[in-house]
Amino acid sequence: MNKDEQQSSELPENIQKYLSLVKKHIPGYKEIKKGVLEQFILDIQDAIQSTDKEINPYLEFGEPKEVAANLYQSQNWIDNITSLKIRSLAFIFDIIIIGVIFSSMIILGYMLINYEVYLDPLTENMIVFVKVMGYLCYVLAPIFYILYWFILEMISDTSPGKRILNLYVIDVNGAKSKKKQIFIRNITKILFPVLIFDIIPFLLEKNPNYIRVYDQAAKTIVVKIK
Amino acid sequence: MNTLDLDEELNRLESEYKKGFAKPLILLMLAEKENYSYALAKKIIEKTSGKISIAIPNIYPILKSLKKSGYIQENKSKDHSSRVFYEVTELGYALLDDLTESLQQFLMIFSDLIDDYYEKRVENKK
Repeated sequence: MNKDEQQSSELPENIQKYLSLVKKHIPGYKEIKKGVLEQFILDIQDAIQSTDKEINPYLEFGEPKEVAANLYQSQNWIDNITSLKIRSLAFIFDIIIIGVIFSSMIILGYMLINYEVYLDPLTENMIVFVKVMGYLCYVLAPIFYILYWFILEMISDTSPGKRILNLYVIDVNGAKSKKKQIFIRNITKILFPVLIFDIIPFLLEKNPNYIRVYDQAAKTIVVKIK
Repeated sequence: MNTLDLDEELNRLESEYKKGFAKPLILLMLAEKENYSYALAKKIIEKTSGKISIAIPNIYPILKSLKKSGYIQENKSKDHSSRVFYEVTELGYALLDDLTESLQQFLMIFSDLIDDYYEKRVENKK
């Protein structure tokens, strides 16, 4: 157990519950949340020590969502909006990762369905099993594709490609982005033609810090969190 | 407008103008002594006899903004804890010198305006 975890676990149960609600509204990985919460936990400890009574965190510090808003506003994340060049690099990483996994699944599915070419003669039961697995790969590949772009960002605020470069998708106000926002900003990943609405303004604007149309619509920004 | 609406409006107006004073207030408190967020929030309550209070989480973005502008700086705690203390920089003191003068003028103008208002109200009542 590290120092931060120790700090939190020493707090009363009601405060721990309150802190977990605050954490829910802060974007980023566990480690980043710890950094943001560090001073706040120290302040909570001071508040507890200053009185003999049990403190009500809602009265003392405010609603968890508002507290989270103040905590992320006290960070420099919003000032670290990522340039299009870096975002494009993260996108290339993502395309490589997704390409390798997606195409591997499709190739594996093809090989299993056409088992005769690659495998020795099989029993009847094995033939069914191998073919089912092959078709399963075909079904799972697009599911994986959707999960990759949408679910990963919804859960962790980032994708593996962005994670490599410490990029996170957050609400323009600095909060954790909502599922609806992630869906809107990633719509181009499934409806490729709508990408044109992103490309035209970019070509017209010629701004290296251009914020994608779908990020503007979703009210999200991609930031570098150190 | 009933009394309840008036109270609400008064609270809203008070909250608005108090927000405007938050940065100078924090700077003034830090000019007295370097401090950390929780102690700062308590000191504001103590110094203003509870008339002004800033919730602890609301202090963080103000401290960040002042730090970013170079008016305050962060110092690590001397007792080796991870507590961060803030102190006013030279630039912060320069700002405070001008700001306190401007605030005093502003308060004097307002004080005169309030006196005029009271006088007129008394006359009207006669």
